[in-house]
Amino acid sequence: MLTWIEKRQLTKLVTWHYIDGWTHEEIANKLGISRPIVSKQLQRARNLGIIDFYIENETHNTTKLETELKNKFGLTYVKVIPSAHNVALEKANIMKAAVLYLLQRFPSISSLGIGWGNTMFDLVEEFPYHPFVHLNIIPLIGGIGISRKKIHSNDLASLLAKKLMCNYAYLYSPFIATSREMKEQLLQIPEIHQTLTRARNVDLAIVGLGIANKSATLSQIGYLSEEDVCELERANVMGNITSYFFDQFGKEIDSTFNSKTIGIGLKDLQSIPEVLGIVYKEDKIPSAYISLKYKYINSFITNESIANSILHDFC
Amino acid sequence: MIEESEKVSLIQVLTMHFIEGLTQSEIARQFGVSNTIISRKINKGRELGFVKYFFKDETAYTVNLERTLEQQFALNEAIVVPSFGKDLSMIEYEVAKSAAFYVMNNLRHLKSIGLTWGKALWRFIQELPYQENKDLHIIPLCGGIGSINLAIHSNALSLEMAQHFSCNYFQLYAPAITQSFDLKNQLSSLSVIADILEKGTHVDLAIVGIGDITRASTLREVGYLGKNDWDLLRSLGAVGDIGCMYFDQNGTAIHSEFNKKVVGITLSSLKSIKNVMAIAYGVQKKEAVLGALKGQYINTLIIDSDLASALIATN
Repeated sequence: MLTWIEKRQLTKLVTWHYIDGWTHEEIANKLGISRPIVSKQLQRARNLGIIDFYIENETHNTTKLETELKNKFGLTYVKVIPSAHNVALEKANIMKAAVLYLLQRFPSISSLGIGWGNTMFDLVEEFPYHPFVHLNIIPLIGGIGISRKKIHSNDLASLLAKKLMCNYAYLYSPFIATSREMKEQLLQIPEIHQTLTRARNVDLAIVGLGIANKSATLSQIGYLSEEDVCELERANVMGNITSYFFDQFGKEIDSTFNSKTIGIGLKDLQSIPEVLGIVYKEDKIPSAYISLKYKYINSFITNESIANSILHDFC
Repeated sequence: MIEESEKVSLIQVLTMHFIEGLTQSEIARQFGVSNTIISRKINKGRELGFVKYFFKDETAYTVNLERTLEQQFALNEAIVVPSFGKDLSMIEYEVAKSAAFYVMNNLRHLKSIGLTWGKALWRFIQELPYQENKDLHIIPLCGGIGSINLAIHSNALSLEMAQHFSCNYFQLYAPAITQSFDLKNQLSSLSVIADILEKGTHVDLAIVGIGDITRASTLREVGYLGKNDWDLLRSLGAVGDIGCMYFDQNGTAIHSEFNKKVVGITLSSLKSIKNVMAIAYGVQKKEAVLGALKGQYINTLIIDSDLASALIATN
């Protein structure tokens, strides 16, 4: 672990070099150190991820896909990232494109809702430290007891709020109740009720899209049992957002699982002015298609091959 | 607009340089072209805004404030500590610690240190380690301010700092503000005072606090100045002081009987000192610090981020 002072020094160096355009020699003179040390320090800052880059790379094809998606689904915002051989790089590019879009939106909104899952975790990881003190970040669903990564809504809201130096709300509720009755009781608790009300009224929500099978994160963390999956499959499940499952007509499935989860549902999402969905995995294509078609999401960031597939295999 | 083919080539080079981390000469070798061609492409890509930078370290916000302050006010160095979510006593501690870090880091170049007076300086000295430095001399830069709160007077601070470094120190046996210009002249001609004042103008590092003229001002708190003095200073446009020498919003020394009665380093002498380090915190000091910066009395500035952003916004 680096100390604050070491990190400050590296951040300062990369700012001088990349933003102010100082040469290695100019930095060396300023700090009274040698040029090779400057060069090593800059490399170190890159290796440690203190600075990271994104290359704007739209092509004729991505622009065309964006126009088609926008017209087809009446989208507020759409961004299609060119497919790359390097999967990790492609994923990082999708997240960075989402970050750039959101940074540009933040000045004009006052509240941001955040879903949960690996995609949301990756998104928060890519955020730079930049103050938007006026912003309020609201979790959209309750907490998950145990997980290796901090992928649940409450954690992500507080992590992002730290980076944006803004306020955040906490949903003091488990993600899933043991029974319908317990869910009803939980919803009566003032602080839970209040946070959920705030969640319903955010200006912009960001969500990942979910699927319903054994490889879904929900199954892996033991929240979605095999019986649940079977029940959902019988109802022709296509996917979920904030863990609310829907079928091929975009209808919320009346399942045991959904009757116990605590968070904002599909109807609530439809009344939020802007819901940004981010998708980078092929197995989420059906989920993305239904979410777009039934306007659970109205802004969309994805890669070239998923965009292609949505437009040409489904439409 | 640029040709699609040129764009593809630019993006390829930018990706190799920024994402894959190849140097310009490594890329030049791969394409069998000169370094200049690659360097030109990289610059063009940057100018066209194809490269986006992500500052992912928590120091990014304060480093950016530091850099802006350094550029706007031609400072050697600014150290900004984050104040978001902290109360005044936590901020005091962080600012003091940073000031102590700066001094310890530069100590080997120093033969003499001058001190004005005040709470910020007292707090800073508490954070200094005990480390013998026999060749160092500590010199008070102004006289005493009455007979209360003695611990924060220039003489007491000099003694205390000398104890931390087991080094030499001087004392200035005069009040900061005398009854008249005449008395000040008489005092200043005494060799026991004149010598110290003279030494004060030649220190390697002067460490100063910046006083404001709000109700929270320490000079006001200790009752050293009467209401008449305050009214006079305010009517003359004073916004702050360094060592009881008052200046206006442009940093110009106030032409008044008041400054002429003060025993201590003058603002013009301060300017000729190689490195003047100011320690300040709290937004109520905004006007005072801005005046001091505009007067170009300060080379090194240690402040909190709220004050830093207020300074930048006002300027």
